[in-house]
Formats: sequence, C-alpha cells, structure tokens
Amino acid sequence: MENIINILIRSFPFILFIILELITLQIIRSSSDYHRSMFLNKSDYILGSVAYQIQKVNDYFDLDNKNKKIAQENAILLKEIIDLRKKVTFNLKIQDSTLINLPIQQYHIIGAKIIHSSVSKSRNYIILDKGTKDGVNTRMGVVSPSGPVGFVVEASEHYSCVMSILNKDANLSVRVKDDKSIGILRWTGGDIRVAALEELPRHIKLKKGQIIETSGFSSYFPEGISVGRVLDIQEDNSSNQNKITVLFNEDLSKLQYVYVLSKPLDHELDKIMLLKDSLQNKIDTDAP
Amino acid sequence: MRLNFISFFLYPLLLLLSQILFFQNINFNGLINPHIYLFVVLFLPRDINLSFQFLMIFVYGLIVDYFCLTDGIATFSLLLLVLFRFLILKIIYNKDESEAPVLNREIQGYAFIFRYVFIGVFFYHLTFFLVESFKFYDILYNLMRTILTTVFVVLFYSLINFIYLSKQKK
Repeated sequence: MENIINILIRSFPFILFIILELITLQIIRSSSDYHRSMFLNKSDYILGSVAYQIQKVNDYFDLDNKNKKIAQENAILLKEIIDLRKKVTFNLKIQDSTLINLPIQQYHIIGAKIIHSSVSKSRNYIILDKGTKDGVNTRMGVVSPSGPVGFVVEASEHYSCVMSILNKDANLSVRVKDDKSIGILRWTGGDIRVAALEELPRHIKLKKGQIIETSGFSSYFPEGISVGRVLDIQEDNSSNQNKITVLFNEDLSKLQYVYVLSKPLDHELDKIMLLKDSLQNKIDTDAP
Repeated sequence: MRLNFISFFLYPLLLLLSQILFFQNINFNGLINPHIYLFVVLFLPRDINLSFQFLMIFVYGLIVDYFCLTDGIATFSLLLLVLFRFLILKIIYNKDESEAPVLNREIQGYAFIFRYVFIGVFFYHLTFFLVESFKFYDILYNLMRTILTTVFVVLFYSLINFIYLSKQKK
C-alpha cells in the first residue's frame, strides 16, 4: 500500500499533466466547431471500425449456420428453376399451338440485410441496408426464402423501412393453395408465429395443415409464395366467416437476410391506377 | 526577487503583448505563423516544482488562448512543451539536468542555447499546427509551415540577441 502511495506521489506531476491535457482537449473540442466535427468523425471512425471487426468475428463463428441456410435456399431455388423450366416448356408449347402470348411478370430481386427489426410492438417495422441507390423503392414487397416479410414503405438513399407483416396495418392477399379461395391474412398482435385468415367464406371447408400462399392480386408479391399452413379452424356461427389461424413458415424475429422484389412494370400499373381513379372521380362528379 | 518578478510576470506579459500586437498579424500565405510566447516555457527556471510548472503554464496558456483566439490549442502545445523540454535537455546537454537550474548563454554557451531553442520552437509549432489542422494526411504541408516558422522565429531570436549583445559591448 505504501509503495502504491509512493508511486502515486512520484508520478503526480505526470498525472497532473495528463489531466490538464485532457481538460485542454475538452476546451478545444467545445470551443471550435471544426475540431468538434473532427473529433466526432474520428470517434465515429474508431467505433465503426471496432464494431465492424467484432461483427466480422461474429460472422465468422456463425458461418456454419449460414452455410446450412444458404444450402437450404439453394435447394429451394434449384427446385424453383426446375419447376419454371417445366412451365416455360409448357408455355412454349401453347404458344406454338395456339399463338397465345402469355404475359410473364418479371421481378428483379435485390438481396438486403436486416439492420434493425422489431417484433414486440403492435406495429412492427424492419430497416434494411439497401435504399434507392440499390433500386429499392416504396411499393415493393420483401420476402425471405420462407415467405413474405413485408412491404417497403419508406426508402432513403442507403436504407429502407419495411412494414412487417407483423403489423396490425398490414393486409396480405392470400389464397388456399388447393382450391385457390381468396382471403386476407392479418396479424392481430400477440404471438408472432401466427396470423388470422379473414374474409374467407364459411362454405369453403379447410383442413388443418393446408398451405396458404400469396394470391398475386397485389403488385407487391407474385402469386404462389408460400406463407404458412392452417393451424386451427374455429367455427363461428355469429358471422359468415370461420376463425382461421395460420402458422407462418418461419419465425420472423430470426431473419437476417431478405430479398426485395422490384417489378419493372410497376410504374405502368401506377399510371393505369391513377387514370382509373381520375375517371372514377369524373364519373362521380358528372352523375346527377 | 527581481529575477522572479521578471521571469514570472514581466517577461511573459511582454511576450504575450508582442504576440498580440505584432506576431499575430504575420501570415505569409498561411506559411509563417510565429508564436513567440513559447519562450516563456523554454526559459522557465528548471528548479521550480514540475507540478507547479504545469499549473502555471496551463493558466498562461489559457490567457494566450483567450487573447489570440486559439481555442485551447496553445495551452495543449505549451503543456506538451513543458514535458518535452526535459527530454531535449537530456538529449543535447549530456549532463545531469539539475546541475544548471537556469538556462543562460553564459553558462551553457551559444551553440547549446541555439540548438535548444531550435528544437523547442520546432516541436512547439509542429504540435500546434498538427492539432490545429487535426489531419495527419496534411503532415507535409504542416511540416513545411513548421520549418519556415521555426526559421523565422530563430532568426528573430538571433536578431534580438545580436542587438542586445552589441548594446552591451558599447
């Protein structure tokens, strides 16, 4: 103890020097805008570099899981390629025989990383690391290999904000895979693994385990993307609908990477919709 | 007592006034910005307690910063010079530093004093310009500013010495 005190006494001038220099640096930082911004730049750079290195180490240790996931994705994509090849061959045969030109909807796919995501609120949003610079814009759908994730509602130059399907305001047009009956999927809050399938007439008899997929009625998602399976059906005599619960394919809280679907012909659809609205308004105003 | 008054009050005040009234206005395209108040540190008696030296220079630096609008950079560089001057003396003096408490050309000789002043001025201005620009990739430009300013200050110091000596001879 005595030694420590002696060392402290001996090094007191040096400690004082350090303290005075720190005070001076604080004065420089607070009195000059230029130095304040430079300090912030440097500290941002240092913190950013440290965070980046930590992230790299974490990514390295997570490589095994990622490899498995990529392998699964590859398998699904391969299956889709095979299915599409079959469809293309089929379409070509129809074109040859009947000269019917079938419209093919093309989607550009932009890979993005989730940098922030919430699942605990009633209105959940996701932030992606891709923005308008990468081609991401509002009115685009976001999917994961396991199904729809949400809709792009805001896009800045480098980032975009996605309204998750785990949002009370989000409505997803879906259909039952087997009989193509159309309904609306809404998340009602609470359990993030399930959502309610609404607006499906009572006469349509569903079974547990039936696959629910996107209907393709909105410009956000193409048809046929699997959303989940029917988990529970409760008959409700008071209304003309049954209470149907759908289990999502994947836990959205664990998502890291997603794909933004960009539809090149979307602006044409927008133009047509605007034209339709203006015509509708004109008819409404002209009507006696 | 007279020496203490000159060392602690008159000499620093004179240097600060000349800095504000004359040297502050020297700026050859931003290449020569002399800060002559640093001589207060260079010729500070060495037998004073080191902690007291730091505190004294800290207060003096703050006064300089206030009048010269240097936002604390002068204080930072002066404090560093207080620490560094012991290193300069150890490198160029080759004797126990406690032997000569006051730096004087009659004790240590002209060559020693000029070497000491040159290194001290160079170090101070390099620190000052680097902290001022806060960019290490500007180091070549800052080095050029430092060399030119150091040459200017040392020439000025020599001129003052020459005038003082010629008056003494008369």
